[in-house]
Amino acid sequence: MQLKDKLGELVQAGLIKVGPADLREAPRRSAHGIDSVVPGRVLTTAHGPVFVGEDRRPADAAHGGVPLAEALSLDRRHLATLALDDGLGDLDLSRAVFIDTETTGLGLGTGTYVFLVGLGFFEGGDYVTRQYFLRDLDEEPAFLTALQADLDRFEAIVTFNGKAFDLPLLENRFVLSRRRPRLPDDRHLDLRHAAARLWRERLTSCSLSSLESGILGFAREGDVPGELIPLLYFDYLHSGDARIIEPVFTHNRADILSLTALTVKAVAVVADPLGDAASDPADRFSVARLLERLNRLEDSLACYELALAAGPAPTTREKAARHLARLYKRVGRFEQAVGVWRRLVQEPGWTVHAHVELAKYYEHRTRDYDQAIAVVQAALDRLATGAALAGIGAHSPLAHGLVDPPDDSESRELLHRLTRLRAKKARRA
Amino acid sequence: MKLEQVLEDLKQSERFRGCIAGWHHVPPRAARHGDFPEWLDPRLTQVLRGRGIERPFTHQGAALNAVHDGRSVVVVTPTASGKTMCYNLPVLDAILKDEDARALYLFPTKALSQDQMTELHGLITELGADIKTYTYDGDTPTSARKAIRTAGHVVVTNPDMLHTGILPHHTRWVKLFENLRYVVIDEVHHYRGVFGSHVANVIRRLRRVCRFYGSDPIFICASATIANPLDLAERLVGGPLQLIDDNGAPSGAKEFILYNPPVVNRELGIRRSSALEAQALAANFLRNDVQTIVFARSRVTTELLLTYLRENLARHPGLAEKVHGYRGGYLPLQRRAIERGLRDGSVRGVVATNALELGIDIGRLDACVIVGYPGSVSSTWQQAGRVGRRAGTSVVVLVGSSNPLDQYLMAHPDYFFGQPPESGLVNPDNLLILLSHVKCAAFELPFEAGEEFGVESTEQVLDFLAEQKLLRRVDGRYHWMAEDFPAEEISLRSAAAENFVIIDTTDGQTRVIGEVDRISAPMLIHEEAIYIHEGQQHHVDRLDWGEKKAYVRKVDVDYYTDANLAVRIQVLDVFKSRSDGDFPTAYGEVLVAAMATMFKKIKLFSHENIGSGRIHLPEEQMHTTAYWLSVPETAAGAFPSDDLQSGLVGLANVLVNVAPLFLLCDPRDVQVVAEVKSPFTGLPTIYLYDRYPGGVGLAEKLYDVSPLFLKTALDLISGCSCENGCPACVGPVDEVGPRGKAAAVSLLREAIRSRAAQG
Repeated sequence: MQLKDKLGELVQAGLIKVGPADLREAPRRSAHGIDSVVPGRVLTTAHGPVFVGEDRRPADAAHGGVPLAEALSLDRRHLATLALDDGLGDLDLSRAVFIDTETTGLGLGTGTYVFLVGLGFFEGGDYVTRQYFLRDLDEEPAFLTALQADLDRFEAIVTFNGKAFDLPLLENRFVLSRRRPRLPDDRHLDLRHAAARLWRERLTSCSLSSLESGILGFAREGDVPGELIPLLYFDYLHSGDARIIEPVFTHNRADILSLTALTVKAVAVVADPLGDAASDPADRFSVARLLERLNRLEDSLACYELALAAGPAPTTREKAARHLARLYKRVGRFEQAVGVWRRLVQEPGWTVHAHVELAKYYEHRTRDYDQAIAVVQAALDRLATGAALAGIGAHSPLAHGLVDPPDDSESRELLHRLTRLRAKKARRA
Repeated sequence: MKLEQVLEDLKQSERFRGCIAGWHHVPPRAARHGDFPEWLDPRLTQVLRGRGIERPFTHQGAALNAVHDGRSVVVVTPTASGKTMCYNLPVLDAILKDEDARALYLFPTKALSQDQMTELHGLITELGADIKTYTYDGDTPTSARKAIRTAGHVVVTNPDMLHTGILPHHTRWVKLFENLRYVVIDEVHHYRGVFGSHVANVIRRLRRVCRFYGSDPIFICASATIANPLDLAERLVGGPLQLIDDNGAPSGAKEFILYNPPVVNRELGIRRSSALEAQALAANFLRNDVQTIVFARSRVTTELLLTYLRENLARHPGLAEKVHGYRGGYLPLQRRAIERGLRDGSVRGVVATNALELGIDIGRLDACVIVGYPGSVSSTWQQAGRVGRRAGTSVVVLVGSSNPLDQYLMAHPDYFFGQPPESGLVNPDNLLILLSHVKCAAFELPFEAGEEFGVESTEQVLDFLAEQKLLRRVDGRYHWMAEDFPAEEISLRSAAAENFVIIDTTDGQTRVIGEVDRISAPMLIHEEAIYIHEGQQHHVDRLDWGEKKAYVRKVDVDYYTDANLAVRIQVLDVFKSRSDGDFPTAYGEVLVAAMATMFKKIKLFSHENIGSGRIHLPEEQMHTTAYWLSVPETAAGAFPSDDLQSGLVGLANVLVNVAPLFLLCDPRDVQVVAEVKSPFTGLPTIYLYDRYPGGVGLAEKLYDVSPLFLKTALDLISGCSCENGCPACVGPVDEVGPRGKAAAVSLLREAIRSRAAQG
C-alpha cells in the first residue's frame, strides 16, 4: 500500500483533520494580480519585492463626522490622560503611526501569519493609509524589511488591541525571520482600553464596530466579517485571484480611519471633561471616574455632579451618586456627601450602601446615635422586605414581620452595628 | 522487633510456609565510588561534602565525565541510587560557569516536577548562587510566565506543556532556545507505547527549534531498569546515547517472596482474596514496628485496603493513625505531608497506587507488600525498590491474585527472577502520530525542501498535507496555512484525536466526568453499558455517535457488561515471515474491521450471564500492525473441527494474556482474533494486533520473540491446576468448550515440537 493511500485512509477515517473542502478543489490560477485590483506599487527590497497598497486623502477629510486633521491639533497631555500612561505625555500624532493587522488566525502561536499591515499617518497635508501585503508566504522577508524601514520613521504607535494581539504577532514574525524587531512599543497608545474606560458605561460593548455606530455614528456597508478574513486569504493564495482579498484591504483601511477618528473623539472628551464632548450623562460619569483615578478630584466632582444633573439612566444614576458621595467624603465635604446619601436612602431599591454610609457618619462624626439607629433599622427593614419579596414566600416569618432577618453578612454587620449603637446610647444616657 | 526476627517467625508459621511460591535472596551490595572530576566547580564539591558526600558513586562519576565530553547519556540504575546527581551536577556546573546557560527538565507528571524542584532548590540554596529554577506547567500563573521565559536558568516542565505551551510559542523563549545546553529526561521507561511515540516526536520538534536558534543540547536521560533502556532512550531522543548502568550505590540484603494465597475451593480452583492476605501480612509487619508500604493496582483497592488495615490495627493505640493512603486525587499538600512522614519515620505505613512508583523521594522503607502482579517485571522491581536500607535486610512480598499472569508467575517463580524486564517499545514513525507532529512542526517553523522529520519519506507527507490545504508549498518551503492550532488538537496521552465525552446526568445536572477514546467507545459506552468511573457504576442511557457524547447516570447494580466485538482481519502487507517448523508466523500491516454486535450482562462475583442485548453501531475500521500464527493442515487435520475451534479460541486467550510478559504495555493494548480458516493464509490463524492505528511496535516484538512466546503460553496452560480450562489459562469452559484446554495444549506442543525438529 502506498504511503499516500495510507495517508488518505487516515483522513477518511476522520483521524486527521485537514483543510476546508472548498479549498481542496483544484486551484484556479487567475490573471487578477493584486496590483490590478488595489492601487499601489511593488517595492524592491534587499530581500525581494513586496506589494504596498496606498490611499491618500486630504487630511481635513472627515471620517465618521470627524475631520482627521483634528488629530494634529490635539493637546498632547490629553493623550497621556486617555491612556493612563505618563510616558505618552509628549506624544505627537503627526509623528505617530496608526496600525492595524490582518492575520491568518486569532491564535498567538508561531503558525499565525500577518499578511496585511495597514499604517495610517499624516504626510504633507494628506492622510495616508499604506498597506503592506504578503502576496505569498515566501515574500515575508521582503515584507518585514519594508515594513521595518517604514516603521522606523515613527516615534509612537496607536492601535486597537495591539498590546495583546497585533504587536506580539508582528514580533513573532520578526523573530521567526531571525531579526530583532524594532517596534516603538514603549510609546504605544492602545485605544481599546482607553475607549472602554470612556464609553463602556453607555455602549456596554466596546468593539470597534460598536464604537463606530455609538461614537462615530455610522455602520459599515458590505464589510467582510472579521472571522472570514483568514479563509479569504487562503482562498486568494490558492486561486491567485486578488479580487477575493480586495475587500480585506477596504476593511483594514476602514479600521485605521476609525481608529484615527476615535482617537480624536476620545481626546476631545478628556480635553474638556465639562464640555459638550461628554454631554451624555453616562460618558460624563465615565470621565469623572477617569479623573478620579488621575487624582483630579475637583474636575471629577464637577463631572459627577453634571452627570447626575443630566438625568442619567437609573443604573448609572445609582453608581454616579454613590461615587460622588464617596468622593465628597474623601475630600472632607461631609455635608454634601450626607445630602447625596439622604437622597439615596429615600429612593426605592434594595441596596443599603447609603444607609451604612449615613450610619457611619452619624455614629462617628456627629455622634447622633438616635439618627444612626434609625438609619440602621431602616436598612434592616429594607433588606428584610427585599428578601421576603425575593421569594422567601408569603409564609415566611419575615413577611409576617416576625423579625428574624436573613442570615447574610450585610444583615449581620448591620445587626452588629445596631447593638453597638444601642450600647453607646445607653452608656451616654 | 527487628525485621529479621519477624521473618524468622513467619518461616515458623505452617500456613505462611504453605503459601510461599518462591523465595529469592538478593545479596547486599557494597558501595563503589569514583572521583569528582577536576573540572567540577569547587563550590559544588564543597556543598556535597557538607552533605557528607566525599566521592560520587561509580555511575555518577561516569555520567559526569561522559556529559562533560559532550556525549548524551542514559543512566539506568535502581530507585534511590542518586540518579538526580547525574544531571543536577553538570547542569549547575554549566550555569555556575556561564550564567547564560539554560537547561530544560522533563518529567512525566507534575508531582514529580515538584519533587525535583525541591531537590534542586535545596542544592542551589546551599550553593548560595543566583540560579533561577521554575516549573512551567498548566498551574503556572500567567503573571509569572514572562519572567520564567526570559530569566529561568532551569525550566522544569512536562512533555504535554512542551508540546502545547512552549514549542508553538518558541518566539517567546528565544533566550532559552539560544542557550539551551542540557535537556534532562527522567523516567524514560515511562515514555513508551503511544505516549512514548508522541513524546519522541515532541523531542524531534524540540531539536528542530533548537537548530533554528543555533543550539544543540546534550540529552541526559534516566530510566528504571527495563530490557532495552538504551534502545528506548535513543528512539526517544532520536540520536546516539551512551549507556551508563554501572550502579555503584550500596544496598542491603533483600528477601523477595512470591506469596500465593491459600486455596479455599479446590474444585473451582478459588484462592483466598489477595487483598485480605496482603492486609494481614502488612498488619503483621506494622504491629512489629516494621515500616511498610503496600502497593495496590487501583485507587479503589487502595482505599479498601487502607480501611481494612486501620480496622485491623485499631487495637494498637496510635498505630492506625500512622497508616495513610497515597494515590492520584489526593491534594498536593496532603501528599507532601505523607512523603515527609515516611522520610522521617513518623508515618509507619502507606497504602499506595503506582503513583508512588515514580521517583518521588520517600526515603527507604523496610517492607513492601505488592497486592497483585503490577503487570510488568519492570514495574515490580520499581515498587520493590521502595524498600532496602543501605544496611540491614528488607523484604518484598508479592501476593498473587487470581489473574492468569499472577498465577503463571506463582507457578513459575524462576521465570520471574530469571527474566530480564520487558522492553519499552515506541514507534515514533507511526504514521498517524508522525503526521500529527509534522503538522505541529510546520506550525512552529516552515519545512525546508529536503528537510527530514524522522523519516525519509518526510517530503511525501508534506506534499500530502499541502494537497490537503493545511500547508502551502511555495519556493520549496512548506508553510502552515490554516487557522487551527494543531498542538491543541493532539493529546499525547490518549490514542486517537477524537475522544468521546462521558456526561453524567444524575440528578438532572450535566457534568463531564471523563473521556473514552474512539477505539474503545463501541465496547465501553454503547447504550445500556455499565460504565465504571472512579469505582462508581454508571448506566449509559444514550450514546450520540455523531456528537461523540455518552449520557450516563449513576446506578448501583449487581452486574457489569461485556460487549462482543465481531472482528474481521484483512492482511494488507507482510513485512516479515518465517516458518517455525510447519507453523507459519508473520507480522505485517492489516486492516481491522470491528463491529460491536451484542453485549452480555454478567453478575458480579459469580460471573453468571444474566442477560444480553444488541448494539447498533457502525463498523469501525483501523489500519494497524499484527503478528499472526497459522496452524498447518497436517496439524489441523488431526482435530475434529469442534475441537480445533475450541483449541484456537483457548490458544488465542492464552496468547493475549501472556503477551504483556514481553511488552511493556497495558494488557488491553494488544487484541486477539482467531479465525478457523483465514481468507489470507487459508489456514486456521490467530492474529494479535496493536490496538493503536498504525501500531507502536508491539506486533513486531511478538514476532521477534515468537518461539519463547509460545513456550511461555504452553508453560502457563500446563502449569494451571484446572481440569478443562479456567479464566487463569485458556478461559472458562463455557467459553472454550470442554476440550479447549487439551486442544490448545496439543496445538502448542505441536508447534514447538515441529520447530525443534526443524532446528
